[in-house]
Amino acid sequence: MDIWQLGLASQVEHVRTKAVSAEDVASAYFERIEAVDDRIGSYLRLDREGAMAQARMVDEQVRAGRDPGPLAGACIALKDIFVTKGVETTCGSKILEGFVPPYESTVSERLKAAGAVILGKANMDEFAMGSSTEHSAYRICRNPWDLDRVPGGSSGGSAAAVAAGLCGVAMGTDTGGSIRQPAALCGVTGLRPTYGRVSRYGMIAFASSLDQGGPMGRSAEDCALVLEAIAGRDPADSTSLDEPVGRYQEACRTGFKGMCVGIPKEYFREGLDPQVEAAVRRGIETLAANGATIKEVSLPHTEYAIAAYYIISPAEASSNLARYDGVRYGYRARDASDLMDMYCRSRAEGFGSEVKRRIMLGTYVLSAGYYDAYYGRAQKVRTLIADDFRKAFEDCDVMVTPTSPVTAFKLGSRMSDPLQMYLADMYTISCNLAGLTGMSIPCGMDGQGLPIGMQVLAPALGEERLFRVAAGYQRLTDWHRRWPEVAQAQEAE
Amino acid sequence: MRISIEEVEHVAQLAHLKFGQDEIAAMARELDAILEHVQKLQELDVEGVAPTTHAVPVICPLADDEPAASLPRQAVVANAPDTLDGLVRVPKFIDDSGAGLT
Amino acid sequence: MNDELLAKYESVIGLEVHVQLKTDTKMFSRSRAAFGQEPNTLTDPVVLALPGALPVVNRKAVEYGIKIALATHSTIHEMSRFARKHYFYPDLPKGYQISQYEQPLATGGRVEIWHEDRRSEIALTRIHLEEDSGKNFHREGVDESLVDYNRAGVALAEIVSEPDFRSPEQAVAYLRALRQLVRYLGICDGNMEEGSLRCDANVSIRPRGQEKLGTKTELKNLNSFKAVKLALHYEIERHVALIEQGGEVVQSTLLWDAAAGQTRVIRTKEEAHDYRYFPEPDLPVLEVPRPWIDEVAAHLEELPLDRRQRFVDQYGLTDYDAGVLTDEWNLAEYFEEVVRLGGDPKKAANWIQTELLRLLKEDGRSIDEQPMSPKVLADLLARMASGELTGRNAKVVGERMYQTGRTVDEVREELGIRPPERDESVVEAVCRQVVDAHPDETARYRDGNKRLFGFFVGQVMKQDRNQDPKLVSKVLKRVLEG
Ligand SMILES: [Mg+2]
Ligand SMILES: [Zn+2]
Repeated sequence: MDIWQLGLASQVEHVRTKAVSAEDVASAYFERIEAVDDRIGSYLRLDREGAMAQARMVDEQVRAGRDPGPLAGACIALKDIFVTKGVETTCGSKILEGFVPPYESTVSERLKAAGAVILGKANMDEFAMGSSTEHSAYRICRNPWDLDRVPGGSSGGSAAAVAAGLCGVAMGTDTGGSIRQPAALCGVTGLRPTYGRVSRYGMIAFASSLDQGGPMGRSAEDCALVLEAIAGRDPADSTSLDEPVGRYQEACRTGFKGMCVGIPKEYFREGLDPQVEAAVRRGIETLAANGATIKEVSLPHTEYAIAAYYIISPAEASSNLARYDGVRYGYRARDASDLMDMYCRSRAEGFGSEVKRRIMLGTYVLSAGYYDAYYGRAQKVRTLIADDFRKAFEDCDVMVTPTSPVTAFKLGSRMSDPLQMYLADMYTISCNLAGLTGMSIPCGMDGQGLPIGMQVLAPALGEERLFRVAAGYQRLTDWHRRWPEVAQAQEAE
Repeated sequence: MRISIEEVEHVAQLAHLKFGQDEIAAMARELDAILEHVQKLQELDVEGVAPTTHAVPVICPLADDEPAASLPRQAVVANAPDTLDGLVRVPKFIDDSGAGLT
Repeated sequence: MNDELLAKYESVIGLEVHVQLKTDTKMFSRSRAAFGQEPNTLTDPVVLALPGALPVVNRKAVEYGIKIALATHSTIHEMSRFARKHYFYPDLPKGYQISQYEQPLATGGRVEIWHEDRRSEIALTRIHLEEDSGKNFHREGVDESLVDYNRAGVALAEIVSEPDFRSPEQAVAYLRALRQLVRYLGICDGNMEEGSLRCDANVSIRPRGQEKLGTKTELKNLNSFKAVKLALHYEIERHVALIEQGGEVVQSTLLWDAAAGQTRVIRTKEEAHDYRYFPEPDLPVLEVPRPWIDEVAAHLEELPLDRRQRFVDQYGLTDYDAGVLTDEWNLAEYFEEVVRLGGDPKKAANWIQTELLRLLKEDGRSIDEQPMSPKVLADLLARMASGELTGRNAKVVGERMYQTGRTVDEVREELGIRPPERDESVVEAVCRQVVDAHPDETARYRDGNKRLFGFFVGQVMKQDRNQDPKLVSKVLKRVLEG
């Protein structure tokens, strides 16, 4: 077995015990990226120099007998939404082409401090707006399981990189499902932590009250290892939680025996692909057969989640994206006739169509006379949705649902109908609105050999519960261990 | 239609975006479909419901008034599309409020 | 415009004052806040609104906001909220200003002012915290605008008054009181030229006796007391003229053009900005718990009117003198330091008002910009009290001390001023000499023309200016009558 095929936790163990050097691990990944990523498009940019320098530093520490950190030599792909000092950061947008940040995001800083090696910046939907990564301004990203299909989004590059074995773990962000949905479509494990659990400092904002960064890996165990290194209060993010970081790796070993799993009945209705439903139900049976109690619960306001989300998130986005004005950094239109022309054309030419659509929607719902009817009302509905979960979690420890109603769809098939694309997030959005934590884990394959994801939800700061269920499930199944053909191609050649 | 062409044009102006005539029409159609969907929220009785502005309620942390290092001026200049002598240059702007709109 | 016409109307004025808080760092980041630095040297990712940057509230700025609220008897809200106010300006990096909107730090409150020898109270609407913008300017030979972000993000408190003023002069009196207050609190240097205190005004007029308010206009860029007064007078007359001619006032925002001495419309109601306020998601609710307020209150600086009263009670000054000495915090401090160093309060008050303030006024200096320390003034007063310096010499010496910063002895040496003669026999010798030299006057004096006494004193002093007039009088009387 090659080093890249091992899980992250095991790679780190190898590096720490000098069984393999961090430099060799990183080189192996770069070799694979070179061989495979042309066909996938999971990376926007590689930082070979920075990565190798960091790997050598880790190796030196190991040789010198110093602690190289809990993520020693862990090779990580960062969604291009995390700013990296001295390394171009575009957030998948043309408006940030050539932008080289003079500072580092808290997440990447903590990863590096723990000994991780950042291989490069992963592809994504522009400003994280999208569910297919087709809205990347730079390149298409394909699903490693079927190159004619989308990897999901917006963290599609991260999910594809993990699925194809082009990194150990990838960092994604999740505003309405952008970690969990691509994880499901690419057959990997993706965790959206509780809002405020991971610092947003240096993570380019889409919708500030919903955004949260988290790990995507080959197993719950790998995600736990990374989360322990990056979670925790950050003085630079006023919304980051001042709560002790959980013992996620330990939770992975605890198992789910005796836990009560709620099944929200509203998540198993029309629009759900029967093959997805079947796989998720089989997953639930596995849990039941191994010591979990299953209980039906109800989340009556589920059908309002998408509407609330598509008011709140564009409203915040329209505000967050006002800073891209061609003045201090990024794209500026040439030969502007005056300041207004410079603003309007820089933004019109720099932003892609989906981003402009959301800015328009968000500006509209906040404009004079509409605030109460839209934004104000959506924030109240958000309270109703959160209350649903509060009540339901009185009767269960976690909930299990499908992550996405469908498996990976064909490239281009939903681009013409934005609303149809938005409905892809129907099972993931409530988690963000209610401030919960959620995880998607592989639980099956459909008839076309496409992965199916099962979502586990827990109340705020309930990450340990997720790890107990997910890691316990993964000990009983092997869905998460499968590789798509494209990942094996190199060996075959 | 829930949103007129004129309204779309007004919103584009507020958002500082520029669209061609056919783009405006398409945008109006797309926004209309989305607004139609979000009308769903009007069904709900939200009388007396408090709005959620933060997913997890926390109290605003306060920082001590102790200066940290500034970015070097070069960092400001390096990323700006147009500068002059360490200043950021933009098309002529007459601040019509005298001292900014603070 | 004739006064009769103006008298038909009552003007209704409200002020919005922006107070730049004297914190070391900015409102929402730890980038240094300072005036007059090289452009774009006081920035960080937050100030420049780099992608991914997030705001963190400055505790001291909140504390300063609490101080203003306490000093104006406002209601401080234990929970307040920040909000985003959107507009596109090159000097506003985020495309929105973080301010407070529906839930400000404090509401209500009042400011006591003295105007036309009457004490009145101006009600406040609200006090909120927000951030300043950068600075945009133009340079000869450059067609474009240039932006400096050093001021961007500097902490501001905005104090909004109710429309309680009935004249421009009253509004100015309020602005002066507010400036005095923030300087007393030590939270703002109150420098209107440098923009650390900025004022906008709302003004409308209505026929006297009418309850309903007229249409108001908003005046911007009033960056001196003079500008506030002139602009308001100009605008009131403009409103009166419009209405008298059968027209009406259009709700609009105007800019005061100090050079042209007139206001100029920059925006009408239709063109008004749509700020699209919404709660700032990057900042949780701002909590100001009661114990914090109590703590700030316990250490709150003495307020101007309290100090004025204390000067009357403690030092026996007249209310007028106390008012003059407490007008400026620095002056009041100076006075009290002189007293602490042994200066007699009444003499010190007298000297400061008649001599020091006159000299400062002549030079256009402030109390901090002159070299005469409280210590040397206390010394001067002590020498006067002991009779070591005559009043006349003290004035000469004091003025020289003010100019040079030297001590009493140094100046006396320089000007050749000796202490007055103490030996009565020496004084007597001079007196006898003068009496002997003026036999006619001596005879007339002794015949009862006592008014001639002054003549003899003058003659004796002429012999030697360094003599103590009191001693001269005493000895002379003896010589003439003995
Ligand atoms: Mg204002
Ligand atoms: Zn303001």
